[in-house]
Amino acid sequence: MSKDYQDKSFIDRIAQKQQDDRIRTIEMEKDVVLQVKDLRKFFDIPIPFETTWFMIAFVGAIVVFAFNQIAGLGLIAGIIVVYFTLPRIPPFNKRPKVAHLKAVDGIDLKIKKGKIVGLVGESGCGKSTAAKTIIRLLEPTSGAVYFKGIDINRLTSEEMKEIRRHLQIVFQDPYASLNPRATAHDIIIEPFDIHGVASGDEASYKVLTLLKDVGLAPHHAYRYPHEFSGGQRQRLGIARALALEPDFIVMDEPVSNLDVSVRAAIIQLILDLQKKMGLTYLFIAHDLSLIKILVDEVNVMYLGKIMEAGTSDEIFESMMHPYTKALISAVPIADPTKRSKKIFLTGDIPTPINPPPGCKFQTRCPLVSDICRVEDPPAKWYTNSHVAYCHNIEGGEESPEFFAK
Amino acid sequence: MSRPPEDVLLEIKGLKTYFFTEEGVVKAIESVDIEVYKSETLGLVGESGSGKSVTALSILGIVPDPPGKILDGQVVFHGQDLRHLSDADMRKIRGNQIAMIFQDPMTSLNPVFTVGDQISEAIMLHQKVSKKEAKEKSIKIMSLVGIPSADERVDNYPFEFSGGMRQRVMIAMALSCNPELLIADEPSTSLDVTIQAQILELLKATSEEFDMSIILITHDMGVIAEMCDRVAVMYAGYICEIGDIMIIFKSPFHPYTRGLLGAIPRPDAEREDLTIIRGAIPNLINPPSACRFHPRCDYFMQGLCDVILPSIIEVEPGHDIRCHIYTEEGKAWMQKHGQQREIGKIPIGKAIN
Ligand SMILES: Nc1ncnc2c1ncn2[C@@H]1O[C@H](COP(=O)(O)OP(=O)(O)OP(=O)(O)O)[C@@H](O)[C@H]1O
Ligand SMILES: Nc1ncnc2c1ncn2[C@@H]1O[C@H](COP(=O)(O)OP(=O)(O)OP(=O)(O)O)[C@@H](O)[C@H]1O
Ligand code: SF4
Ligand SMILES: [Mg+2]
Ligand SMILES: [Mg+2]
Repeated sequence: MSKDYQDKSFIDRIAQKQQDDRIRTIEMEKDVVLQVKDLRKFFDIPIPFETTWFMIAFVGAIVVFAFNQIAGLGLIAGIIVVYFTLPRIPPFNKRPKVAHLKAVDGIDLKIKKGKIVGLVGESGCGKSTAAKTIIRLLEPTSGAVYFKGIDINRLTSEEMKEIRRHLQIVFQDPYASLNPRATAHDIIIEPFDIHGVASGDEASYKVLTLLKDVGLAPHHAYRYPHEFSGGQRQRLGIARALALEPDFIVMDEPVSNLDVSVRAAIIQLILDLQKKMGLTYLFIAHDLSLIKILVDEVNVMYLGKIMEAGTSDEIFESMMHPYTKALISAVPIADPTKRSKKIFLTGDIPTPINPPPGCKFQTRCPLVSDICRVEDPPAKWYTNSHVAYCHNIEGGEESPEFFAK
Repeated sequence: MSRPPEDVLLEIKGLKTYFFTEEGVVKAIESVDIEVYKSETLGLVGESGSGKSVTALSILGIVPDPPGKILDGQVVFHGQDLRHLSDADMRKIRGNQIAMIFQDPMTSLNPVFTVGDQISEAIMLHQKVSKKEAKEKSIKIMSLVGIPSADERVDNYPFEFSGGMRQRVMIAMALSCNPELLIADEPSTSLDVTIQAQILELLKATSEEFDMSIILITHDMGVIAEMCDRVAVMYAGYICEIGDIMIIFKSPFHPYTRGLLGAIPRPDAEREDLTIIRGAIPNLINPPSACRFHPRCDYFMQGLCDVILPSIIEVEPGHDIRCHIYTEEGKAWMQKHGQQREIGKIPIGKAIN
């Protein structure tokens, strides 16, 4: 097919540009489709300074008063002196101060072809931000994402457009991510237009095929998003993501907003499509019982960092990290004969704005010690796929190479 | 495992609640029968829109009217039908003997009053105590529900609390009058699992300590399995199955319960074990006839399930089902068509024949 041919030549073309500094390419391990290295995404958050305002006004007034007393200056002169001694503090320098919200703070991933890799963690830990940064819907603050060896963040927007069709996303909220004024047909055909893949009857035919692939009927093509049920809307979102025959799809909580009975059908669809088209998924969820049966590998995230990663069995059967242990123990099990003892975490959840140094989990960790509040925890490898980041857990090797043979 | 009648704390009989809206009449609750025993935790489980919250509002007589109206049924608490009480008497029962935690904690806490003020108010509404005593009690109950440094945080506003802490405040308010029955509507759904575990533990501990019954509303079968003694499964305005938790999770009799349990990842399950309930939840303005589950049911008996509403059958002591597979009419239908549909006691995931 012409499309495949074009893509191959594009990737080859890029690969040949190895010497071109602008695009960095790396030799990737066999089977690895996508690799993420030390990826960070910070958001600049203006610090509201109402409280600082009053504090400064108050301090300022005292200082002015003191100046007047000591130096015998007039009131105005006093204010001027104070103004110039405090120029860097808002509101004196007009611009509000910004803080970094460290939504993603250095994550590494290796995603192998045909695998479903899970990214789990509690609300706000940075899963969606990581997902969007990985497919470059957001520009990273630092770090790199290599797709088939190419550093995608160094591509021009033209080049990115070519790569984009291989990297798709299905969003958490199908309603918010679909244009409410476009019909299903228009929603799915849009990527064809953008990429000039197909037009006219050919495109419409492709739309119908896609609708069928995701279990919708031809007559659904002329409906608007609000005329679909939640499950059907999610099918539509999946159809659109599939339109350009991508290699890699990020599924950002594709079933979290769906009813239980509908959920199973969408999961079934996601699995069928993967088998049929040889897709690779990054699957984001907070429902661990679902993750357990669905994914091949799991990455456990907490406050922007990965705490532990491994195969599904390694994480669910022999987890090492205190956070993973607490998280998995907290999952309600749908079997009343297996009521288990929970690990309860005490302590406050810190905000990702200027988080404390050291381990991100320190405020709630049952194993916390002094070093956790100072130094980033080291990687401890238990197999060549199972790693946990913690100062106070037993065993583990410094590097996965230890298990090479 | 049914308990003697004198152990019944609350009995709902033939409850029917509709909403008269511009689009049409939403037949939200068609017929609900539930008994709640003393000091038990009863789970009320069902998918979105099945009528769980409306059932709770109907018990307390606070269905928004208009558009809602309770058209039929009894809500018998301590031998008296709450539907016949005056507003004043009903207000005394609400919060005193029956308390409720609402689905969305942020909307049910007033943002402009401190947390302490709101708990104190709840206490003063039902007990004759001074403002100072009420505040002291508030602090005590806040530390009881695990809010650290309660004596300082009592003066905080709701927005200064995290989601889990707000939910604790809601529980503190609900518990402030030692109710005999607590209705908890999705008390942990919007929370992270580690926080959810704490909230559920808190509910469990307080129900044991105060000998309180709980109706726990959720759509999460996992939460039900962890928390409840019995469970009622709701679908489109009907209770389709009610019984002991152990029995229902092991061998549910109702096709919908089986579907629901098959559709969730159970421990030891594999990807392939997930089963699908085909179709979608019906529109309650124009619900399917007779058994409302019939368009989605694998065991549908044409000419029966879509024509006659199945009556409630007690398949074993304390285990009630509303499904034709177990009615006399159904047995006759199966005989006539030479087909077998008995699914009770067959493990989930296994098909008959
Ligand atoms: N555009 C933005 N500007 C500022 N902060 C943001 C932005 N997007 C996300 N954040 C913050 O980044 C952090 C991570 O958010 P993110 O949406 O990635 O979390 P999540 O793990 O996907 O959570 P959820 O499970 O609730 O979807 C949060 O603290 C969030 O408030
Ligand atoms: N104020 C209202 N006006 C009109 N219809 C209503 C009103 N409140 C509830 N309903 C309808 O009654 C039905 C049952 O709603 P209910 O809130 O009890 O569902 P639920 O089981 O609690 O669902 P969820 O899990 O989403 O909370 C729904 O069809 C709903 O649309
Ligand atoms: S590094 Fe320390 S604080 Fe972090 S998880 Fe390990 S023991 Fe806990
Ligand atoms: Mg998200
Ligand atoms: Mg509800």
